[in-house]
Amino acid sequence: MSELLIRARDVRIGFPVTRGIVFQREVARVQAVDGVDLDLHEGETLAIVGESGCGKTTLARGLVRLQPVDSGTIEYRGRDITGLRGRDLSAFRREVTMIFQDPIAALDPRMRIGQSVQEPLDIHDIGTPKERRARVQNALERVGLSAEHYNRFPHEFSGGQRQRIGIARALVMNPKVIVCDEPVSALDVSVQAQILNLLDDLQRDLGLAYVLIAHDLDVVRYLSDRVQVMYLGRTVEAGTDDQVYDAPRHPYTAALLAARPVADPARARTRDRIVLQGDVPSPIDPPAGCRFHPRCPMAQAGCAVTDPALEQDPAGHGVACLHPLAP
Amino acid sequence: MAPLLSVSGLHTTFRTDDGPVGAVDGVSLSVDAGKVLGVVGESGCGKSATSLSIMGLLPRTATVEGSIRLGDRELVGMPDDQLRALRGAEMAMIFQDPMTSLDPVIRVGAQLEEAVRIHRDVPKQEAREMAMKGLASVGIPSPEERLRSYPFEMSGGMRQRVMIAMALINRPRLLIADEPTTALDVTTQAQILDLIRDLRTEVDAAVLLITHDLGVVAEMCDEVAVMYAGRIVERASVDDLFARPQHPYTWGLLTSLPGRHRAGERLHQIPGTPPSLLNPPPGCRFAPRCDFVMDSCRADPAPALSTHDGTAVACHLDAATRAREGARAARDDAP
Repeated sequence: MSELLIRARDVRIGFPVTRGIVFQREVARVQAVDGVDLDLHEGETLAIVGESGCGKTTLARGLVRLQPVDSGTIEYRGRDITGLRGRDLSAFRREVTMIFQDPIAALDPRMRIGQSVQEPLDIHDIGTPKERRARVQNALERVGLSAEHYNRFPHEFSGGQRQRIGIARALVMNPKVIVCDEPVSALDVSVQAQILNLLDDLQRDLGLAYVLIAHDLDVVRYLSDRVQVMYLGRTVEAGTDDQVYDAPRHPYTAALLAARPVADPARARTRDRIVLQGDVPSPIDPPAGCRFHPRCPMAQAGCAVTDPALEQDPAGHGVACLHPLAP
Repeated sequence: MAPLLSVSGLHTTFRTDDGPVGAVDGVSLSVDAGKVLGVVGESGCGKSATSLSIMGLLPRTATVEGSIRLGDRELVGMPDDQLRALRGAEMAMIFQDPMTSLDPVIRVGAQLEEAVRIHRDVPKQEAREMAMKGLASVGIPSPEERLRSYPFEMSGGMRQRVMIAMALINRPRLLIADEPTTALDVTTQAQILDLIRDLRTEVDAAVLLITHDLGVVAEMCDEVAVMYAGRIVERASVDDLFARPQHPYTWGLLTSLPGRHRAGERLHQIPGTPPSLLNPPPGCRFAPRCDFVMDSCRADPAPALSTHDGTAVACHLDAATRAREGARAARDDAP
């Protein structure tokens, strides 16, 4: 088994809900991530899937320490990173980097892209100026841009090229892990394929591990080895791609899979669709019992009372449901 | 029977500081009542410019040439006040982002009533009644209370339902839906697509569905027009488009979908990016990215749409190659 890089246990991340302008006071707390476990091994891709508000982005930001964690542990190579400071934190940030959904928002519009890509090296004071420049050019070439792009500005690039710049910026540190938050959801289909192939190549060549945050289940399946499905701050199902996609055991996962539009008119007309009713409840005041029960087509009396824990079967397929679907 | 909407030779050009941009370059299409025509393409292909031209909602920097006929009326060159009378009554539009299309400081009930009373001289009470029925018809629970809600008090899916109710409240004959589910989560998208499908049979309107998502096309449309860089490159029934795609760009779109691949199998990618419409390449606009490009493709005139077996395609490739490669692209989905 390859090395376990990230081991997160019972991670909770919340945000205050405040009232008042002058005398601001905390009236409630939104538990965006509410007790999530996660393992990431060397060279693998773990996908975190779910709809808006399920806590996937907050979890991703917690993993790279962009968001403080309320409780729980996140270990990187055996060392808890939730309390890291100073030199230790910056050493961690050299190895675990992130790429964002909107590459234009992540780049400074007034900085030449060479500078932008080089910035992490400057911050961490790595190498001589000459070495830095060589590493930047190397990273740009890796992502399919050329050295002549070094002196251009972000606005001169298309969406797909900007995402390549974002990837180059994450790569320049020679990281072990890249957390990718919706890396292709802002891109057109034909360009999306280019970026997915690039991420795949980089993983193969450099042995990177990815945490892939996405709402598009098809994108996820193409890149991932394992999937974790989140709903209202909890993991409801976790397993390998084949386990989760071919034999989902949580009704929410089944509904998510069924709701994807199918690019095949004949199948689209004949297949069974589970259309969930209603909307995701507010995470400020999550439902008692199983959080999915108000929308669950298979809910039974006990579901409103008992909060199911994530339980794994012998094959490692985990599901948090009192009445899981037959495997 | 003449089609309800028929667009022919539409050219929409935007004046910009860098010169004219031909966002729509000779588009022709038609939709019958009760049918859904999908217009599919990537950002900047002119699909939204086409729908805004039909609605007459373009900014003053745009010029529209060609013909747009709704029933027996010509919309190009129609005076603003006449166009205003049609908009919201005979033709209506649903936008991608309901939050920016609804007034944030007015209750949704008042916004719906306004949509009725602009076009019809009905008493306030009756308008309120219609607004309530409208909300009920799009599946909003307790519609009477919801009339008093502000848009920010509703979820994205709920707001999109309000938009749909507003678009349909005057029973339009043409409904244009521009990326109606792109901003929504997948389970909400399924609800909204179901709703549009149900309503379409009920109101018997012609629907123009603008989308970038081939999955949505397969689920919703009767016919499809594929646009690239301001032109239609292929137009076919939805079954033919997926079973026998004819244009190399359509093949590229189909084979680059990650859902049609097994993990580990490389995704097909269309190299490069769409051309700038400020200075489009001569000949076929897809030629610089096409795997099958020939010398004739790079020279004017560009291939025109020609129809075989009900599918119209704008491509110089011979029919045998198109049939072979099209079948390959279509087979790609076999799991």
